[in-house]
Amino acid sequence: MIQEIKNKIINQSIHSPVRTFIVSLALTLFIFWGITSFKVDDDLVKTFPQNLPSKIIWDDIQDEFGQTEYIFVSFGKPGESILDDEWAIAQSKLFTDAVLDKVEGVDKVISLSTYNKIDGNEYELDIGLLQDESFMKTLQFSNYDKSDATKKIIDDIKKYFDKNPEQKKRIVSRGNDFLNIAIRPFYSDENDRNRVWDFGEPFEDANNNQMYDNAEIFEDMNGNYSWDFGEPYIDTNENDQYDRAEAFTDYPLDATNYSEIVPPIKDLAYEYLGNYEIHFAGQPYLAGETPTLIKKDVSTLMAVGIIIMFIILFLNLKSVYAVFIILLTIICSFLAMLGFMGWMRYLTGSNYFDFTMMNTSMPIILLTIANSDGVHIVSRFFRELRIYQDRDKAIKSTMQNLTQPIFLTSLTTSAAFITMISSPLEYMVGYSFGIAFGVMWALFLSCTMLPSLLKLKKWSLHSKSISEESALEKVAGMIGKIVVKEPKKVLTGGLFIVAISIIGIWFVNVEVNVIKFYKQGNPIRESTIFVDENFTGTMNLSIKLESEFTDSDGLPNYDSYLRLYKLQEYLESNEQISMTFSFADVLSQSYKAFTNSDDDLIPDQDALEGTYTMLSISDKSEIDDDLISLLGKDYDTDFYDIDKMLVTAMIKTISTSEIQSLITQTQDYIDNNYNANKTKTYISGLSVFINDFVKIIIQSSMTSIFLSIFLILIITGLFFSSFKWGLLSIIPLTSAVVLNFGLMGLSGINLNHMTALLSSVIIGVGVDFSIHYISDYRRNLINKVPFDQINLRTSQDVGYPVLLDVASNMGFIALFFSILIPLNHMGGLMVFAMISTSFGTLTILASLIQILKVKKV
Amino acid sequence: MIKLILIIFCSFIFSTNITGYELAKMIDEKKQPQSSKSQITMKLIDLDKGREKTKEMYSISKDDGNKMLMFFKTPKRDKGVGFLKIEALDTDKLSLFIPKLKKIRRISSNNQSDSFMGSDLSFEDMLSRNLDEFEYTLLESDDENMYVLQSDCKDVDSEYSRHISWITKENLLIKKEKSYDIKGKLLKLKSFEQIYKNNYHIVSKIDVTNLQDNHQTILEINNLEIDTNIDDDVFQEKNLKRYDKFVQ
Repeated sequence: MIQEIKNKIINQSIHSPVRTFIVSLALTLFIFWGITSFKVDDDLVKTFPQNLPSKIIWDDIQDEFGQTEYIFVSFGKPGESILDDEWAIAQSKLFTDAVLDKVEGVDKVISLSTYNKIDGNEYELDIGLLQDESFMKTLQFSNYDKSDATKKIIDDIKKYFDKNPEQKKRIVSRGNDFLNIAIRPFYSDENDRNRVWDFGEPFEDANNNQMYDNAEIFEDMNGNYSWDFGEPYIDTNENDQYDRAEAFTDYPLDATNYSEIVPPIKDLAYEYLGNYEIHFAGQPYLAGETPTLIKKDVSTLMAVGIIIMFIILFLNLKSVYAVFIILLTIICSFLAMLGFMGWMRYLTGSNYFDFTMMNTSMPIILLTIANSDGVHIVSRFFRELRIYQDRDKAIKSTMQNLTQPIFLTSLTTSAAFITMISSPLEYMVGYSFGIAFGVMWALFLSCTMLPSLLKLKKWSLHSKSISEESALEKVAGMIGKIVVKEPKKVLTGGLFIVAISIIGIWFVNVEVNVIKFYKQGNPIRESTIFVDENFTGTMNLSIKLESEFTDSDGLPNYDSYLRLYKLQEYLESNEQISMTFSFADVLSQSYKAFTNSDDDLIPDQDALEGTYTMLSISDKSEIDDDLISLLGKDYDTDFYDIDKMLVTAMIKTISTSEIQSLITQTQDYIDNNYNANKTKTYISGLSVFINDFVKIIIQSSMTSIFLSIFLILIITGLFFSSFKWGLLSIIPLTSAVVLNFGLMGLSGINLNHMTALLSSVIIGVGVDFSIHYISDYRRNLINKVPFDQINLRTSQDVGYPVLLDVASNMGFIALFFSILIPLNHMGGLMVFAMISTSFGTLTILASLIQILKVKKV
Repeated sequence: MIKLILIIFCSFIFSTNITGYELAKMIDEKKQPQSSKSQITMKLIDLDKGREKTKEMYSISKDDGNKMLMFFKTPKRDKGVGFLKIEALDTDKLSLFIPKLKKIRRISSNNQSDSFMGSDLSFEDMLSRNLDEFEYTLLESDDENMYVLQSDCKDVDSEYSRHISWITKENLLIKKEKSYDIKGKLLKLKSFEQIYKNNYHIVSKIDVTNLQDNHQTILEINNLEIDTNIDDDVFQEKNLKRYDKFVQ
C-alpha cells in the first residue's frame, strides 16, 4: 500500500512533471495566501507565561503600585554643568510635555519639570513641584544672561539637591553634566484591556440633583469606535450645554508593547534634545528595541547566509539549476510555513500563531532541515545518473531510495518539534506546529516538486556535475574507508571527544540579561552603562512587604519603620544597588523638612506618629501618584490603615547569576529579620521575571530534547521494526547534543532562550543524518551487497549529501556579523550543530555498526 | 400677633427685588452667639474604597467664630493636635500644633486650600467669607421658599471660583451649597443642618462631599454651650500645647 503510494508519487513526477510542479506550486501559494492573516508581534511581554510565579507577583505589584519599570533618556554635554544651562532645562520640560501628550502608552514622566520635592521649614511642609511652574515664562530669549527669576528657580533647585543628594542622583548625573528623564509606560494586563467610557462631566438635572451623563460608546460605519455627545443639560447660566463625554480605553491598547512605545520616544528625544548627547536605557527600552534589531539582523544576515549557501552548493554540485531547485524548495517550504501560521491564526483566532521574537529562529531551523532534504535528493540523483546514465531511472532510483528515509526524518523532526507544546509557554504551540508543518511541506515538495524539476531539465551526462566526483564526495569516501579500516580507533576517538565535551556542560552559563546580548562598544550597551554609572541604575528589584504597618488606631509601628529603614540600608550596602526608596523615605524626608533635622532616621515612636499626622494633614495631591507607587492604589490618604508597601531597589545592569544572588541574599536578610507570620514578602521586577521566563524556555527546551530523543527512539524502532536500529539512530544524536552543550560551556557561549531553542535544530538535523545512514545501510543489506562493502558504500552514498548539507549550512557564519551576541552564538552553534551531528553519524554510528557487524535488517 | 406681623414684614421685604449682595450682607449680619464650646464628631468616608474613620474634637470659639481653638481627642494618633484660628481684617492666622513633634505648623495663605485634618473641608472653609471678596448674583429658584445665591470669587488665591448656595427665605439659613474649583468644575457639595437654640440658628451638622476625590466628611456638633464666658487670652498659640487644660 505504502509502496503503491510511493510509486504513484514518483511516477507523477516522472510522467507529468509540469503538472506536478504547477500543482505543488499552486498548493504552496494557496497555503501562502494565509499570510493575509499573518501577524508579526514585537510584544515580548505578551509571550510570557501567565502562570509563572514571578510574573504573577510582578503583575500583582504592577496592578497595585503601577508600572515599576522605566525607560531612561539622559542628555547633556560632557563637562558642561547642565543645571546652569537654562535651555537644557527648558528642552527637558518641552520633551517631557511632548512625551506625555503624544506618546500613547506613557503613564508618567519623571524629569526635572515634574519632580516633586518634600521641603519646608519649621512651620510648613512644602510638597510640590521642585521646578517652579513659571520657569518657562522667566526665560529671556533676547539676552544671553539669565533673568533674575530664572536664576532664582535654578538656585532653588540646586539648593534642594544640595540638601538631598540622594534625590539628586535620580535626575542629575554624577558629573552634573547630564539630566535624566524617566518615562513610565502604562501597566496593562492583556486580559483587562476593555474599551470603556467615562461618565462625562457631571451635570445637574431639573431638580438640581447631581447627575452624570452616561455616554454611550458606539461603533461607526468604518468600524471605528466613536462616542456620542451625551445628554444636553443646562448650565448654571441657563445656557444649553452638551456634555461631551469621551470614550477611552481603560489604558492604551498594547501599552506594555514596548516596541510600540520606544520609537516615538526616540523620535521626540532627537527632536527636542537633538543638540545634546542622548543616551537611552532601561529594561522596557531594551525589551522594545531588541526584538526589532534581532529581526532586522536575522533577515539581513539570513539573506547573506543563503547567498553563501548558494555558492557552496554551486561549488559542489556545479549546476546553477540544481542549486536553484534546492533553494526553490526551501523558499516554498518557508512561504508555506508562514502561510500556515496565518491560516491557523485565521481559523483558530489564536494569537499563539503570531510571529513573535521567539519565532525568530524558525526560518533558520526550517532552512537547515529543508536544505537537508533537497541536498540528499539532488546529490543522490547525480550519483544515480552517473550510474544509470538515464534521467528517469536516476530519478526513480533516487526517490525509491530516499522517499522512505526523508518521510521518516520529516516525521521524527516534526514529532521532535511538536514535543515543544509540552512547554509552559503557550506561544510555543504556534512555534512547534509552524515548524512541524514547514518540515512536512518540505517533505511534500521534495517528493513532488523537486523530482519534477529534476525531470524538466535535460541533464548533460558529460557535465562536470554528473561525470565528476566533487571534493566532498571524495572526503566522504575517505571517511568511509577509515571507518571500515579502523572502526575501533574511530569510535574511541569519537567517544573521547564526546567525553571531553561532557566537561564543558558543567561550564554552561545561563545569561539572559538583555544588555549582555549586545557586544561591548555597541551604542545601546554603552548607553546603558553610561546611565548606570551616572545615575541610579537602569534595572530594579521590587520588594513588596505585607504587614500591619499601622494598628487599629492608625498608630504607626516604629519597629516596622525601623526594620524597613534597615532593610534599605542593607540593600544599599550592596555595591550593585545604587539607591532604594520606599514610604519610609517619604516619612524621613517629611520629618527632616519639618524639624530641620539632618538625620534621615526618625528617632522614636512619638516622632513617627507626629510625622504621620503632619503628612496626613498636608496637601498630598502633587505626590499622590508617588504615594500610589509606594503604598498601592488603594492607600489610605490619612495613613491610618497601611498594610503594604513597596521597596524599590535601583540596580546597575548586572548578570543573571548576580541577579539571582542578589535575590537570594535579600530573601535571606528578610527571612532573618522579619517574622514570616507577620510579614509576607514578594520579590520581583522585570529583570527577575524575564530571567525566570527564559529559564523556563531553557528548561522546556531541555525537556523537549530528551522527550524528542525518546520519541525518535520509539518512531525509528517501530519503523525499522527493531529496537536495535532505534537505539543506533539516537546514538549520534545524543552525542551531538552532548558535543553541542559541551562546546557552549568550553567556548563561553551563554545559554539563553535563543541558543536553547536552537539546540532543537540538532535533534532535527542529527536524526536526519542517522536515519539516512541506517536506511541506506539496511537497503544495502536487503540488496545483498557484500557485507564487507556495505559500510563503505553507505558512507559514500550518505556521507556525501551529509557533508554537502553541512558545508552549505556554513552560510550561517554570516550571523557572526550581527551586533547581537546571541545571533553570533546562533551562527556558531548552527555551524557546530551541523559538524557535530555529521560527526556523530559518520564516525560514531558508522564505526559502531562496523564493530557490531550488524547483519540483520 | 408679633409673629404674624414679622411674617408679613418679611414677606414684604423679600417680595421686593433684593440684590445678591444685599442677601449676602443680610446673612453675614445675622446674629451669632458671642462664644461657644462644643464637642465635634468628624466622620471621614472614602466613597471609593468604603473606608470610614471618625475623629472627635473639642472646640472653643468666640467673636462670631472669628476666634477658634480646637483640640483633637481621638483617634489616638491625633490626640492633642491643636488648631487655632484668629481672623482679623488685615490677616488671618491659622496654626496647627502637632504634639508628637512638638511643632506648630502655620498655615500660610498659599496653603489654605490644604485639607483640614484629612477632611473635605479646607482651611479656607474654616474661615468666614469676606463679604467684599465675592460678586453676588441671585439666581432663579425652583423652590419658592429658597433663594439661590451665586457668589463668584474675586480672590485669585482661593481654591474656588464660585459657590451656589440655597438659602431659606424664612430664616436665611444656608441649607445647601455647591462649590466650583478654579477651572469651574464642580468640586464640593455641602449640606447644612441647623438647630435653634437660645434664639440663634446654629449649625449642627455639615455634610461635605468632594466630588472630584469621591470623599465625604460629616461633621456633627454636640453638647453645645452658648455664650459662656471665654477669655480672649484663650486664643493664643501657647495654648495649643495645653490640651489637658482645656479638654477633660
